[in-house]
Amino acid sequence: MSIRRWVCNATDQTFAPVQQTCTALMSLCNMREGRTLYKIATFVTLGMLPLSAAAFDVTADRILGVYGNSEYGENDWNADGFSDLAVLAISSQGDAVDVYLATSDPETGLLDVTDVAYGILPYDRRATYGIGPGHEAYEPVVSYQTDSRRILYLSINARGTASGVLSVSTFAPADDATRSTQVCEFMYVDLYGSGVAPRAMVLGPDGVKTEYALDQEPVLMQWTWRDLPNPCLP
Amino acid sequence: MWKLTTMRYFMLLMLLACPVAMAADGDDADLRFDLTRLAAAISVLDLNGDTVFDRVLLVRNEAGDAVDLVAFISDPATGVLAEAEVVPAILPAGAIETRQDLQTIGSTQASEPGQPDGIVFWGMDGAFTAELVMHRTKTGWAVDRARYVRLDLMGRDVPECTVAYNAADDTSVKPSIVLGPYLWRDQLPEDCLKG
Repeated sequence: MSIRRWVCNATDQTFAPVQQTCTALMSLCNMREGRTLYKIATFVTLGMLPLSAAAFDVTADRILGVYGNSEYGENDWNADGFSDLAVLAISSQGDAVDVYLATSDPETGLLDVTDVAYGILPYDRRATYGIGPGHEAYEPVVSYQTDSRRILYLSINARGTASGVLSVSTFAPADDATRSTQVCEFMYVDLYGSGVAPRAMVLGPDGVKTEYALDQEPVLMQWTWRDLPNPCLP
Repeated sequence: MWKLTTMRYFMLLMLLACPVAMAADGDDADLRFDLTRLAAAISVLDLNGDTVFDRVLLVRNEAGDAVDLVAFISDPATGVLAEAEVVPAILPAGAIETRQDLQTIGSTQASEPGQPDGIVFWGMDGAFTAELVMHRTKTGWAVDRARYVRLDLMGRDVPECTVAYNAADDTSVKPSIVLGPYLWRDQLPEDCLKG
């Protein structure tokens, strides 16, 4: 692996501004193919890594939702006996929504951010967002609702690191406005042990339902709303 | 050896200036804190009755003994958030080392659109649960009800203290009090401090 790729991968695991700075620096260096500057960029970026790993400072006005506990008093969604934390925040560029997952160290009980998924949803000032407990495992579930009253739920398979996407579901208001219809479902993991294989269902605007099998569970850090079919978007 | 062309001078300057710029960013006027200090947040409530959603956060203070209230009111025309309103230490934080304490936020939704929502906070400190119901006023925050409950050994709720303040609905109760720091310690009646 090249040193460039190693540095950028390392920064990508830690902190968006550092990762963006890294990419910008590397791009600059590539423009002129200056090997010395390339090395300087590497050392500057590496020098910034300890700063980024120390704490995830955020501006308060970026916070959209916090799942620190559920109404049942549970917030141990990785089931290791210690409380965890999931935070939904507007991206530093202001155009997307990021998710931060923090898990407690089983030895000290102290929280640390272990997984960050940047740009999992678009940010729209008129939309409403939330994050809270899912079903039996209290997994973090992100909700995203627009003016159209369509709502998308993204369930996260939270781990210490390399968390995945459990499922994506979208509901649209029915004609009588009292019920909602599920127009999209991506079930990557058999949540309830029902024995049903991972599957997708998309209900098109013409009312035609399309179903197909799914492959493995996506990695949360790589997942993006841009990959969803149109009917799945609120 | 390589020659320092103008372009390389510029790039070197940018490389050296970058960490300085990032450090300076932390001194700006924005309210920043470590993400792991967040206790709760709600972004679907209307605190001033303008039908535009506002935001409220609960953030553990640096001392670790309480959570602060941070509220943002949205501009009804643009949706842009105004400067943060901060009320320090509105609830006890409990044992921060193990984070076994609990804070949540809910809204007391107004019965009609255009009326402001209130906020309900719950906080747990060991065997004690605190509940605060409050609303935003023109000058600050007023507490409508404070309730402290103790869990007995059987896990049952034992009310320790309930104080209702909202004079608008009931003249038999005390007028609202202004929400201040360490309310549970400094502003509630002595009976409420048995715990």
